[in-house]
Amino acid sequence: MTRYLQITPLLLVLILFFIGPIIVIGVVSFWDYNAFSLIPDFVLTNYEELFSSGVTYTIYLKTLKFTLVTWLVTFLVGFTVAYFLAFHVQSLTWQMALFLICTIPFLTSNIIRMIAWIPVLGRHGLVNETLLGMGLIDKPLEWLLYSDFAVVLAFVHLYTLFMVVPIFNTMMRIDKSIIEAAYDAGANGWQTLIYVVLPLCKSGIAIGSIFVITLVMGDFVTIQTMSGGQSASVGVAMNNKRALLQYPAAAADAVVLLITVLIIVAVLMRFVNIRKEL
Amino acid sequence: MLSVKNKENGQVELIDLCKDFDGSKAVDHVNLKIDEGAYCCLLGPSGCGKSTTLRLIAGHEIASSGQILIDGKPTTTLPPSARGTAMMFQNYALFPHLNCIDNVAFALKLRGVSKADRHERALELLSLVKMEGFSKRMPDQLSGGQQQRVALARALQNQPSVLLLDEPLSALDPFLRIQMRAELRRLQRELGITFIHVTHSQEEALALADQVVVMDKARISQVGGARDVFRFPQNEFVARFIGGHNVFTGQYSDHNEDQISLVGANNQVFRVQGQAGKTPYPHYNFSVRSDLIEIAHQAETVNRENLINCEVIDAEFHGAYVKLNLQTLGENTEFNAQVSDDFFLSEKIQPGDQVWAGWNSSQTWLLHPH
Repeated sequence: MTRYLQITPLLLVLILFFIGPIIVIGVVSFWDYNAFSLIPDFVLTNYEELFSSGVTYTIYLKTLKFTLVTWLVTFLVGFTVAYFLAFHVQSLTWQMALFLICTIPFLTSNIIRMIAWIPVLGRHGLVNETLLGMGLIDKPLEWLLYSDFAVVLAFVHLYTLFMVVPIFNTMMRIDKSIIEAAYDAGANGWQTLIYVVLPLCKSGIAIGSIFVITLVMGDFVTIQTMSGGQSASVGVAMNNKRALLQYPAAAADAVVLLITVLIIVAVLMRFVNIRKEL
Repeated sequence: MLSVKNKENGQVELIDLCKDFDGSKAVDHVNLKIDEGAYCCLLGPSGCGKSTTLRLIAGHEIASSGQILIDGKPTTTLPPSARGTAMMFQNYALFPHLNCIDNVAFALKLRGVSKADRHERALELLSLVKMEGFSKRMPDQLSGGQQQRVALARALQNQPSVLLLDEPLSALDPFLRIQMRAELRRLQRELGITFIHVTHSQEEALALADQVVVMDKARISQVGGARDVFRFPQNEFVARFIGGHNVFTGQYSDHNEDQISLVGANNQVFRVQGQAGKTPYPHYNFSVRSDLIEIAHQAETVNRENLINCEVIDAEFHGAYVKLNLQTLGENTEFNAQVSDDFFLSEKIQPGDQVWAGWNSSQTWLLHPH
């Protein structure tokens, strides 16, 4: 009895703020609507419209492309940083100090960190002015800001740490003598990385990937700001429908996106033993 | 016949080897020659530099100065795999993501040997350590002893001429330890390669080694055959560490051709075999093996040259014998004596009893003067 009492507060919070809203979204996605009001109903039109529109597939493709590129870059950068921290920094003090330095940017908000790129990348921004001053280019680079490049750059800046932390965590658990055993068997540094370190970091990589993929798949602020409204994503489309008060259509969008992300997460979970990681 | 043996024979020579870690010496001017095909044990307390010495030979540490020759070739700065050595790690260090056969075949995979060929070869090695039935198991599904066998097979993959074992038996339970010990010895004889085995257990070293190297404070204290090191420890440290010895100290009083007379703190005279040299030292240490000491309740029944009166502090039952913890009267030197269990029972020895302990001067061993 006391056991149930003990979990009740958490259960209430989860039902009220997590499960409840999801159910509401699910229910609303079947409602009808017109320009002025929501009409409680059970219709499939929202889903029919979604799946019959070519735009849906285009923006899903675009979102997946952002996700894939961001994932690849955050993985390469995150793995390298984690590897450096775990294997090249010998003293624990330095390891912790450098690790904390990595986390310091996270004391400011996402939005600030993202907007901070604008004066750097803009037409008359730091990068363009510098390159012009050095005489390397004769007119400002247009693709630096308000482009897909800017979007991915911001994503990488925002989310690389979500890759670093779990990978660093799994790397720190690798017994140093396992690395020595690989050298003893004749492996060079590269072979040790590919055949020993990488497979042993599998769960860290999977967890980091889940973070990055779910964050990027659901994003709309970064894409809207950094692309200057020129790129669309599932999140952006959903937000637009919400702004037009087409809540049932936005809800249907949300349900489909949720299912898509859950499928990706389910696939990634096959690579990781969550119980072992916690 | 399985070709595990290397063409070379595995003679190892350490010349003036030193290793510093941030200013503290882990290995301090070590000179050692290990014969080809020998079973050599590096023995010492923790922190004595035995593991570092092994890692220097393996190439997992690089010497600060000095040289390592393996089969006459300088290998001091070569990478581990170019030395003809292979290491078996203390915690076995099996690759946790690979099953047994892939663990053993790892070195071949690196060299691009086809899967069928490397599995065939790995299976041969697994059967050498009687683990062929476990080839598909993951390391965490194996017991400690089984993991060790797999680690052994993996270490033999590159046909080493020297196998380096870092406290290989310390993680096993006592029963398994003795079983594995015999198996290591059998394997070493079969393969005919040099084994260098680091241990802090004198019992293990005595049971296994052709050559025992006792280390203390980053230096070698004594090198010799197991029997020699046990019978004739060169200094007090070795005598105490190797076990079964009691170390006594006395002031020089007199000597003749092959005996020295010493006076203990309680004015007890000890006769010790050995030469004093031209100018005798003021103090000498000597050792007496605890299994050679005779114990009796009455002094008259002990017919030995040296006799001391002492009190029984404690008696420890070891099965075939009883280890008596004794304290000399007056000077409070503690020492041990082993008596047979039958004798212990028939003499009715109790803690608190006063007894006489005796030995002949021929049973004493003079330790290097300090």
